[in-house]
Amino acid sequence: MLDRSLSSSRVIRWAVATALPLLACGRPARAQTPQPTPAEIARQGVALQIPSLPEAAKVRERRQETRVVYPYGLSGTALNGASVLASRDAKRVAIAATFSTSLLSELVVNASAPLSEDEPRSAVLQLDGLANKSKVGVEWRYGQQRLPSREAMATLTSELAAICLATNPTPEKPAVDTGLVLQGCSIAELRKKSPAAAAAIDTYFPRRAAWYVSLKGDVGPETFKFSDATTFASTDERKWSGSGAVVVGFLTPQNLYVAGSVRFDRTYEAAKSQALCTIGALDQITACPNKIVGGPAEKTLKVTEVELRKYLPPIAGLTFGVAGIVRRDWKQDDTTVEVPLYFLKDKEGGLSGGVSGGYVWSSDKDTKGARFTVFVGQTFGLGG
Amino acid sequence: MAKVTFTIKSDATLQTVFVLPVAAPNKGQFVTLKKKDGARAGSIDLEAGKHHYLVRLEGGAPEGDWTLTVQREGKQPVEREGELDSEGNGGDVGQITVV
Repeated sequence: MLDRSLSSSRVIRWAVATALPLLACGRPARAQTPQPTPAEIARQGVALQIPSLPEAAKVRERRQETRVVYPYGLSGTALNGASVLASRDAKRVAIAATFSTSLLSELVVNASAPLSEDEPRSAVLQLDGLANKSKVGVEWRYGQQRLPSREAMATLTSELAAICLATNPTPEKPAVDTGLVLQGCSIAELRKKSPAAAAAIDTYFPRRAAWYVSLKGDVGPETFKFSDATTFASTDERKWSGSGAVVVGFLTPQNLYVAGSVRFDRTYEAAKSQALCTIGALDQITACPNKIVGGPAEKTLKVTEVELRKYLPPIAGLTFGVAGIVRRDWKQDDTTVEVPLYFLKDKEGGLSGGVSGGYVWSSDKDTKGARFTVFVGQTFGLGG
Repeated sequence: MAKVTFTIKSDATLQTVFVLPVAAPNKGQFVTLKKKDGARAGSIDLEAGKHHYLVRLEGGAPEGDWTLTVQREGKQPVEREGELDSEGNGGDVGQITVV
């Protein structure tokens, strides 16, 4: 198993190994070269940024107190190797291969295709122009979740386990052969009952923000069949669509998920259908089938988006999740505000549907206006 | 040594598992979790005896359910259930005795 943790001792060893040779190289040079006086430095306009000793000690202390891991729950799967996923809910089949590129980052190569192009995904949150097309892509993710050091975790675990074992009776020996005996306490319950437990958790494992950044690009082909606008002869044309995006996401200590993204899409849209037929005689009734006349038109999106997500307090045992999305398409000159409220659960018990209200400001009169949507198949979670 | 697998089923975004041998408190280990069948799972080799464990869950649905399954290789699993607190944090703590 690959240990993805970045231990503080490893960081210190790396820093010492890097810094010592540099210092060793620097010392003779400094010994041979006369040191400039403060007046000379000021005259040459050179400012030396040397951290003060208390600051350096504070940084060193913080590194020893914590360790940093990749926040795979916030972004990504932490699934090394290849995976194949066919989802009826998402109506896509996807193949992904994930590689660890460092202790805090991973690279994902993926390919996906819609299970049915006739059944597009819900319009809510559908910001990807390639959502309903076959595509291949690459994504690089980097992120940090700061955890307590092993020493702090050992102290916390010992203290909490002692409180738990003192209050919980020893469990009966299980009827089946499990090879182990488990005696545990819910941390949420322990926090309520024991101030000492709550204090220990707040001291050794306080909630900290976790964050990630993702750079991704997709490309996909699509073949358009249409009638030539001049000759009306049937023809087809293959176009390649592409998209690129930068996403930054934070999970705050208050469990508020904040994400910002910039996306560039270049896709193609089929021309409108028209009734097309040959008239044999003026007094003859002729059926005119609809055909697409003319080649596809290029559609470019330059989208900036900010999103907030938060679970609401349960009401009558029901779980609610709310998001607020502000989206600006600079190319199409559209601005959208959307507030999806999630309350429908999927078979796993997670939120995946609800209602959404919003408003679109657009120069296009047909697009402008309020929106109200019922949606399913969009999983809600505090992560990207 | 016994290979013990921790499987957590929860919507909590951040999940951390730490195991500490009671006889050797300086040998505590984080367990690396990976997605597996809609849950997250990770394994660790434990010596016979008592071990303290801590499962920390953060960023889930308030009062959301969680399930922890601890299974020794080749044996039947032991399951524990609980709820997150009103802020969507919680987890499980206690002792595993490998017999």
